[in-house]
Amino acid sequence: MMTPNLERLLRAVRRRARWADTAHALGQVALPSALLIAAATVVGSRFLGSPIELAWISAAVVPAVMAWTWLRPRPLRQVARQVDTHFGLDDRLGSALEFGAPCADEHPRTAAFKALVRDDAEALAASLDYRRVIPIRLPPPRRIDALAAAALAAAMLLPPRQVPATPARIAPTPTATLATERMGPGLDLARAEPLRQDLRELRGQDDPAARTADALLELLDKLESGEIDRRFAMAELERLESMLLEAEEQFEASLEEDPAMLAEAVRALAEALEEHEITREAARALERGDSDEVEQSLAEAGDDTADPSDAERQLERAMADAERRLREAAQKSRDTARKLAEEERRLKRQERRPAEDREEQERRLKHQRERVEQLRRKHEREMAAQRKLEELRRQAQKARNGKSGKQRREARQKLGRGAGQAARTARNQRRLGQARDGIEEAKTFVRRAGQKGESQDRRRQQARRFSRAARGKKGKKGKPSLLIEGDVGEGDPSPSMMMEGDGDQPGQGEGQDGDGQDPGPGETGGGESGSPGGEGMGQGSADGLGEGRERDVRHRNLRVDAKHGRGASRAEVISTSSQQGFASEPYRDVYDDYRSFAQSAMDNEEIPTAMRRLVKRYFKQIQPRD
Amino acid sequence: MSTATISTANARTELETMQAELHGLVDEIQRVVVGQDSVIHGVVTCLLAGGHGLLEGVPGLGKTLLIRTLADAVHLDFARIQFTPDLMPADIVGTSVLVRDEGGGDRHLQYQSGPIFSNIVLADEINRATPKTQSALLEAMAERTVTAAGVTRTLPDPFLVLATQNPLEMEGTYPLPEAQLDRFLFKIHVEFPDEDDLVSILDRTTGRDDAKAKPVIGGPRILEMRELIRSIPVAPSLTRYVVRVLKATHPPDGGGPASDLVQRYVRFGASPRGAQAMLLAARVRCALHGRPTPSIDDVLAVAPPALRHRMILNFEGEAEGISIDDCITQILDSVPADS
Repeated sequence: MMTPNLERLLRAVRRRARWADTAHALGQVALPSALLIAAATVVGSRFLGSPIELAWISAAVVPAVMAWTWLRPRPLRQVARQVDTHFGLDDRLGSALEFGAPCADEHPRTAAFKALVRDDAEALAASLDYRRVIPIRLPPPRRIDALAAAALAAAMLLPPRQVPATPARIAPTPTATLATERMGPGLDLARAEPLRQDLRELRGQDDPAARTADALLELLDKLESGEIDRRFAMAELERLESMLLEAEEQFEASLEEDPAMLAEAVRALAEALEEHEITREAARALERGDSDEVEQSLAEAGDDTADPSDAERQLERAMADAERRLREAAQKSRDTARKLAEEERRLKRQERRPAEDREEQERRLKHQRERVEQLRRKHEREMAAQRKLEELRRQAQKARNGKSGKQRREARQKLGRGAGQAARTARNQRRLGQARDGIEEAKTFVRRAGQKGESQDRRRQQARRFSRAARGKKGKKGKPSLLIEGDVGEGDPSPSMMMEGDGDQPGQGEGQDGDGQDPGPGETGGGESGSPGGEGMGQGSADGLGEGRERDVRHRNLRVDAKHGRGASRAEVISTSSQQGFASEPYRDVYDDYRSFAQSAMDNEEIPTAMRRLVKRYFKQIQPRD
Repeated sequence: MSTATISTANARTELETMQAELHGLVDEIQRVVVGQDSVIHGVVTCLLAGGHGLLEGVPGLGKTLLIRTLADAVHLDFARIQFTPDLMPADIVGTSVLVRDEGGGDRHLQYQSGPIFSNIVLADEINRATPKTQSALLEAMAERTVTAAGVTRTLPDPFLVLATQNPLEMEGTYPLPEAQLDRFLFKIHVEFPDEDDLVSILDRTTGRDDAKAKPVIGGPRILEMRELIRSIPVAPSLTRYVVRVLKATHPPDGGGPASDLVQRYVRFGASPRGAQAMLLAARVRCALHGRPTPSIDDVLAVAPPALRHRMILNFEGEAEGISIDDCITQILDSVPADS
């Protein structure tokens, strides 16, 4: 039985005690804990790549501490003792709390004393100010708080984790955020001027290549001015690359004919038309990929000439050449049908073969099916391209053999229209390729800007890797590299050839009695190795090394054949393919290896820009078409 | 309801009256005895609680004076027994002597009561008597009766034994057995007075006036006060606290949560009489302060005199000179007020 004033007082004190506990716990526990947790999560995000959002866990400390302070049991008896102690009441409130209703067998005087205690407590409770019992104040800062804050600050200062560049698509980032990462001085991109020039040439169209070129130019400008840093530029380049990849996939999906065949045929057609004065304008329009101009030029060819019969003859010869070139292009063996048949047979053999490892079998079958499907699609496109070229050839034939001038004119017009469309397709593909090259080149500039000091070491490592791979070494983790098919040969790993020289000529060192008769196996500079053969000391010449002389060694050129192990090394593949006309390695794989090595060399070496572009053009020309 | 109200008012009045009388008693004693407030309060507590007191102190600190003054102030019979090695039990409890009848020549045994048959008995230097003589006090202190010649006789009420002993002079003494020590409510240390008190003592004892206490309270009133004090309610949590303190005096193998000193140096803890003594003395203390119920502070104040003679140090504790009071202080610091 608790008296009302006493109950009110004790509950108020308990509430206040909880608030005080909350303030204390927040200052003493929650604050340093939250700081330390936040620091740990920031460090984790920097080094382990954990999401930075985990830092919000630190905020959970606050409700946890509050819940603990408010849900922790706090009996009123304990609160009463606190009040008694604070006001020096000799436990009167606490005792009153415990003295409930009088018992039946209680002595009357004892009951009276209990009632007296309760009355006193009730009177006291009404007069006490509960706020004085428990002051609410924030705890003073401690060393651990400062340490926790310092830990968080230090964690924030850690450099962000470098995300390795992967072909995975990166979510588009608003360009406006570029301003948030302003740098100091920008990068020196003077060497990127040729790239800029190429990109400017790509502009002016409403296609993905032009948009990519615009974005690249803007990016280079900002990078140069220091508006953005390398990391952000690289992320932006990845984004542009992924967008371009999408555009290429869409373009690829929209194609009905093989663009490479069309491009080749258009080039051949342009060469044929270029040879004739009357169709030269159409040829140039064809090279530009301007389909309207091609159509118009061919339709109106010879209209403004003074001698129509001569123009007819010239047109007839031009169309004959065009027909011939188009026929050759259409009938050129693509070998795709044979490859398709071969791959289909291989797929059937694999399907029939019992599987030792089911998962491995499934993986191989899947790969083979994709290969077959790829070839089938290519074959279909080649067939479509052949039909298209055959149609163009017929138009060229009509343009030559048409019965009337009108018919020939219409045929030329159709030829120009078809050739123009093919040229436009080829041009679009070329533009996409150029845009991709532009992105790659821009990446190179960005990478090179931060790799100056490491380029030599990296270059050596890449050369070592490439050399090892070219000789058939296993790749990392035991996986075969793209380059191997056999074991390592036993030849010298050094790419330079060693040459034997005869060291039987006398040494040329003055002041030495010996004549250097020892036929030691010298290298190419055998002349310098003649000194060890002499007997006795020289006659006191101070210049014991002698004068420099020309090499007086009889050279003998030897051919050293590499000793190959089992299987074919890369060198053997290249050698045999050039001599025997076949290759055991897919050309695309070979191409990719060499191109990537060339690219890495250009990324890490101080190669003149002109030479760099030359190498790129070379690889562009020899790139596999499929 | 009205009865309760009246009872409350009466209770308050009774408390105030008792407090005033007790303050008068203490003042009267302090008129004669200079300083020694804690000793005076301890002795008065023993008187009101119905227990006995053992005063320990070096000679000349006024122990005997204090007890005699108390006897004067409460207007009760007082007897002093100087304990010596040749003191016999009969010298304390009395003996039967052969006497001739007044009318005839027959003789018969007649019991001649000893000094124990007084309201306040001063057992001076109690540790000088042999254990046999000391044990003569056991029944008197515990049962308040004396059995002699096959007859049990009741001692007067109130009955209070106040013994003294000298802690320094141990040669030729017989330390009190534990059983007898346990029968003392308090063991009170009489400390050497400070400088001001010494000045006052000199002034009072070397002048012409010889101060003497006047009786302020009678024996019946003391008995009433005892009844009233035993009616004072104690909060259950306080009772539990007393029990926890008592358990804490025991080493771990005794079942108590021992503090460091207790764990290392205490052989036996206090008996349940120790808890009774603490609670009863706490009631007296709160009555002395005019409060209707005791608090933890009262228990903390009375715990040392109530427990110090009930705890026994082990050999290691004795050898290292460990103070029982230090153990008690550590116990009181370690036992939480709330369970």
